[in-house]
Amino acid sequence: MSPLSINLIMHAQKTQTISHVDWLHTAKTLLTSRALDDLEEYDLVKQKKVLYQFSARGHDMAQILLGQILTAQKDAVSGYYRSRPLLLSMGIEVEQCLQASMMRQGGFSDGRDIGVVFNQPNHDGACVLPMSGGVGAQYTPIAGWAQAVEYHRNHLNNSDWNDAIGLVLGGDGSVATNGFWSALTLASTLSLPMFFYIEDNGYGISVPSSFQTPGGNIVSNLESFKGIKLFSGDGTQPQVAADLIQQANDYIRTERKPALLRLTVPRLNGHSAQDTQSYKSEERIKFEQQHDPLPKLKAFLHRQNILTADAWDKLAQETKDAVYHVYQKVDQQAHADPKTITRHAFSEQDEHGNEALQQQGGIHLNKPTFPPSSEEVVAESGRANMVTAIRRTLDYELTHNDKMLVFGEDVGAKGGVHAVTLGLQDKHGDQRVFDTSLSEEGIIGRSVGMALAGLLPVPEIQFRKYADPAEEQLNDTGTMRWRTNNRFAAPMVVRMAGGYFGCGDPWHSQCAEVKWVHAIGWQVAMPSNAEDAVGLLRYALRDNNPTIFFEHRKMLDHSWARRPYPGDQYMIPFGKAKTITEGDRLTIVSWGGMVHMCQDAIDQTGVNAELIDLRTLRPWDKQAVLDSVKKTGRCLIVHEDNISAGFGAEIAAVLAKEAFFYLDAPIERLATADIGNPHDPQLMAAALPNTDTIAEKIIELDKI
Amino acid sequence: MSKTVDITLEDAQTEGTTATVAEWLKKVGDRVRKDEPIIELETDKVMMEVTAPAEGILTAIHVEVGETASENKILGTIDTEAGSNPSNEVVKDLTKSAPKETKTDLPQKNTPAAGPLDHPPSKFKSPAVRRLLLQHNLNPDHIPGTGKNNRLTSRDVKAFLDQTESDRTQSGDSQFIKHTHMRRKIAEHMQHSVQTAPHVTAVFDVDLSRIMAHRTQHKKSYEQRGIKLTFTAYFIAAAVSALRHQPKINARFHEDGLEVFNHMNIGIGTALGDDGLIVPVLKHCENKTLEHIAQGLTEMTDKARTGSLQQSDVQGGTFTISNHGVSGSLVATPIIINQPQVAILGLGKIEKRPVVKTIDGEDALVIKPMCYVSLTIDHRALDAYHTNDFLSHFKDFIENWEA
Repeated sequence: MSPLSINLIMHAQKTQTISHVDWLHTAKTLLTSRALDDLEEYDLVKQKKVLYQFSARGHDMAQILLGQILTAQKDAVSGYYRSRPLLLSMGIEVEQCLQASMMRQGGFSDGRDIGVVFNQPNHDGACVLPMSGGVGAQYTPIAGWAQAVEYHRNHLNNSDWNDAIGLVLGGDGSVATNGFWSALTLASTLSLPMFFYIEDNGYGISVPSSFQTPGGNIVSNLESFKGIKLFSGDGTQPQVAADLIQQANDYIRTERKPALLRLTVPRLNGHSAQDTQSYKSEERIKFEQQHDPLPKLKAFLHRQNILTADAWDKLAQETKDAVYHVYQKVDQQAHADPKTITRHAFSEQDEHGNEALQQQGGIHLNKPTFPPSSEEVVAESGRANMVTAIRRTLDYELTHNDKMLVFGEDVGAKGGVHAVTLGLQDKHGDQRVFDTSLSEEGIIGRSVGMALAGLLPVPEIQFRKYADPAEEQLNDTGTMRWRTNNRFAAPMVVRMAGGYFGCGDPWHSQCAEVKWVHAIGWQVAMPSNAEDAVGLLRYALRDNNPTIFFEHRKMLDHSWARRPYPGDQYMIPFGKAKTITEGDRLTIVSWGGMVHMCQDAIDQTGVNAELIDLRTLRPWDKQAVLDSVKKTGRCLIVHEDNISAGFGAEIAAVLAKEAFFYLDAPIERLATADIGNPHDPQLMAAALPNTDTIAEKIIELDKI
Repeated sequence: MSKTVDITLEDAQTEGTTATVAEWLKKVGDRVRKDEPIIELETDKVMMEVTAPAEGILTAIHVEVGETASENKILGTIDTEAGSNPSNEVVKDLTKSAPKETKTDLPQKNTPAAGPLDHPPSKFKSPAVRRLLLQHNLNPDHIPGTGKNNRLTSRDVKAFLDQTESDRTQSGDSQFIKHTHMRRKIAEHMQHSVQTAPHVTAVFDVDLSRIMAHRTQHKKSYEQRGIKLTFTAYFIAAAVSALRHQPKINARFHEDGLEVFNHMNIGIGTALGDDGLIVPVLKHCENKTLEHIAQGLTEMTDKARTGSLQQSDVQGGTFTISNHGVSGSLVATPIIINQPQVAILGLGKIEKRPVVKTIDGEDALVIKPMCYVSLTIDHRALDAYHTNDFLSHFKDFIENWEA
C-alpha cells in the first residue's frame, strides 16, 4: 500500500460476517487485475507481445475474496484459464504473470505454455496445481489432492496437513464435463475436504449455460445430491460473496466434507482477446456491465469507511502505473533459449550427475531410502507365474514405502479381476489398497493430485481399452514435467492389462502400447515373463517418471512365462533388453506376448537366430538392437499390436538410418493386421502372429 | 536296480482350495529333470505347477486329468536309476547349424504377388555387401553368392574374408606382409588387364649407335639448360614417329569399335624400388621436339623421385613405354598392357653385342650397342601386321637418327 492510501483510510467498521477479509488487499488486487487485463488486451495484444489473452473482468472480485481463504499450509487450488485474479490474491507477483503471458523466462513455464495455464509449487502454503488447457480436467486432480490430505493427516499422522483442503475453480461450462461429474462422485462418496467453486457467467465461450445443465443452475439441479453441501449467490456483491465464501470454507474445514459454491458473475469481455461477443445481445451486455463488481466494491468500501472514492481513484492510478512499470521491466527480459526446448520431457540429471528434481510432486523430494536393489537374480525354488510375481512385488514395495497406494476397479476386496492384487487389501488395509468408482478419468485424475501431494499412486486400468476415458488425464500427466519446465511432475505407475487371452475381442485384448510411447513423457514397460515383471515393476515404483506397466493377460499365467521368483532386491533398469538366444543369421526383436512364440519358432526352424526381448519400449535398448543387426545384417520385428505405425515401425526407421550400411536384407515386421482383436479363438489365431507364421518369416528372411 | 520317488504336492501348496489335474506335461516313459514342471493343476484361483522332485523316468501316473489332487495323494512315480530312453530324448541343438527343413505340416500360404525382392537380380548388392567390398577392397566377381538367386550376401563376403584370413595364417614358417594400397591397386590392375586383353608380343632389336653419338654430342648443352638428356627421350621420339605411322596402336578398344586418339600422351613406367611402380604421363608428345620431350621427362622424373606427382600426372595416357632394361633385363614378355590402351612398348638392356653387318657386300662381325625392343599388343584390336610395321618403323627411326 502506498503511504498516500494509508493516510486516507478512515476507521474501518468491520461487519460480523466478513471478519476475515482484507478489503484493502481486495481493492488493490482487483485494480491490479483490471490494470493487467487492460494493458494486455488493449496494448500488448496489439503489439503482439501477448498472443493468447484472457481477461477476467467480472470474475475478479469474487476470486480475490476466494483466494484469501487459502490459509492452510497444504491447501491446493486448481483452476482454469480465467483464474489469474485468484492467483494475484494468493500473492503471486505481477512480474511472474506478465513473464508468463509475454512468454519470457520465468513465468510459469519459461514460455512453453500459454500464460494463463498457471502452476505454483509451494510446500509452505497454498500451492497451485498445474492447470490443464482442457476444461474439466482440473477437478479430479483436486479430488486426489483432498484424498491425499486425509491420508497424510489420518494414516501418516503428519500434522502439516491438518486443516488442508483442495479448491477447484470451474466455469458454468465445465459442469457438463466428465471430470466434473467424476470429481463430484469422488468427493461425495469418499467425503473429501473439497471446495467446488463454480463461477457462472452464463456462457461457455458463446454457448449459454442452459446447454450445460437444465435451466442453467447447477446448484438447483444438485439439490438432492447426497454428500455435498451447496451454496449459491451473487458474486458481484462484496458482502454477499464474502459471506458465502466464508461459510463454504468453514464448512469444509471443520466437517471435512465437500461443498459446492456457485456465484453468478458477469463476463465483461470476450472469452479471449479474439472474441467479439457477437452472440450476446445489446441488452445482455448492458445487463452485464450493470453488474460489474468493481464499482460495487468501490461503493461498498466507501460506505464502510474503509476507502474513500478519491482514495480509490488514486489507488487505481498508482496500480495502473505500477503494473505498467513491471511490464516495462519484463519487456526487457529474455525469452528462453531455443536450445533448451527438449529438456525436461523426463527426469534429468544435472551437471553433477544428481537428479534435477522437480519442485513439487512425487516421493523423491523427501529423499526416501529404499531397501537395497540389485540386477542380480537370487532365485527361489520352484516357479512363480507373473500374477504371483507382480503381487509379491507390490506387497514388498507397499510394506517398505508408506507413500504408495494401490487402487482401481475391483482392486480391493476382490483382489483384481486378474487376481493380481489378491490379499493386498487384507494385509495393508483399505486406506492403501482400495476400490474406486467406475471412472477411469477419476482414477487417473486423482492419481495426479496424489502424486503432486507427495504420494506414489499405483492405479490400475482394468483393461487397456478402458484407458480411453482416462486419456486426457494420462496425456496431461505425461506432459506435465515438460510444460511446467520441471516445476511439477506426477510420477505414478499405471498398471494396464491387455493382450490376447484364450479368446480375444476388441475391448479386452487390445495392446496399443505404442500410443504411450508416442505420448510425451511416459515410460512403457511390457514384460514377457515373471522374472522381468518383478525387476521392471520394482524399478518403476522407485523411479521419478510416470510409467505404463503392461500386464499381458495370457502371459500372466502362461507356462513359458513362469520363472523362479528373483528376489525382493531384483530390479531391471528401463532401456535394457534381454538377449534370449544368440545367433548370427538374423535378429528377431519382440516383446510382451509374442516373445515365447518367437522362441518356439526359432526352435522349430533350427535357424541360428538372435532373439532380443526389448522389455521396455520407452526407453528402449537401441544399442543392443543395433549391435545385433550390425552383426547379422537381417532383422525381423514381431509384435502383437497393429502393424501400421506400431512400435516396430519406429525400430525399422531407426535401423534404416543407423544400421543402413550393415543391412543385408529388408527389415521385416510381423504383426496383427490393422483390425480389432477378434473374439472367436480361431479368428484370433489367424489374425495375430503365431509360431508357424513367425517360423515362415524366419525362413524367408534367412534365405534372401 | 531302481529307486522310486513319489510325486506329491508340497505342504499347503494348494492353499486350502481344491486342485484338479488339468494336464500331464510328460507321459509314462519320458525322462524328466529335477524341478521340471510335469503336472498342471487348476485351482479356484489360478493354475499351479507340480515339478519333478528328482531326475529320472516317469514310471507311473496315479491321478488322471480331471481328478482331484490332494496333499496326501501320490500323484505319480519317478524311477531315478533307470537307463536313459533314447527314443524320447529331446535335446535341442541350438549351436551353430545350417537351417533345417521346415515341418511338412506348415500351412502353405498363398505366395503374394511378386515384389522386387521375390526374384532379386543376382547382381544386387545390399548396403552391407557394398560396405564390406569397399572396406576390404574386394572384387565381388571373385566371391560366390549363396543368397536367393545366387545373390552375394554379407555372409558370403565375411566367409570369404575368413577363408583368406585362415589360408594366410596356415603356414607357420612364412612372413606375412600386408598389402599396401599401391600393391593392391597394381594387383587389381594387372589382373584386370590380363583378363581383358589377349596379350601377344613381337621382339625386334635396335642399333643405338647413332643416338648414342647424338647424345654424347648434345648432352652437355642440354644440361646447361637444366635438361637431362636420356635414352628414353629418344625412344619417345621414335615412338611418336612410329605411332604416326601406325596410329591404331595409339587407341582404345571399345566393344563395337576402336577409338584412335589424335593426341599422344605417353606414359613412362617408373620403378619405385620395392614400393612398386608408377606411370607418369607426358602429355601431347605429338608436337614435341626431342628437347621438349627431354625437358618434360626431366620434370616428371624429379616429381616421381620426390613423390610429388599429382593425379593428373598419371592420368590420360594413350600409350606406354616400359624401360625395363634399365635394371638389367634383356627382354620382358609379355609386358602387361596399361588399360585401357591397346599396346605397350618395352625397351631392354643396352648391351654391346657382336652383330653381323654387310659392308660393301662383305659380311663382317661388328660390335654395336644393341637393345631388344618389344611391342605387346591387345590382339583384339591389333594384329602382327600393325605390330611389326610399328616396330620396323621404330627401329628405322632410331638407327637412322639425324641430328
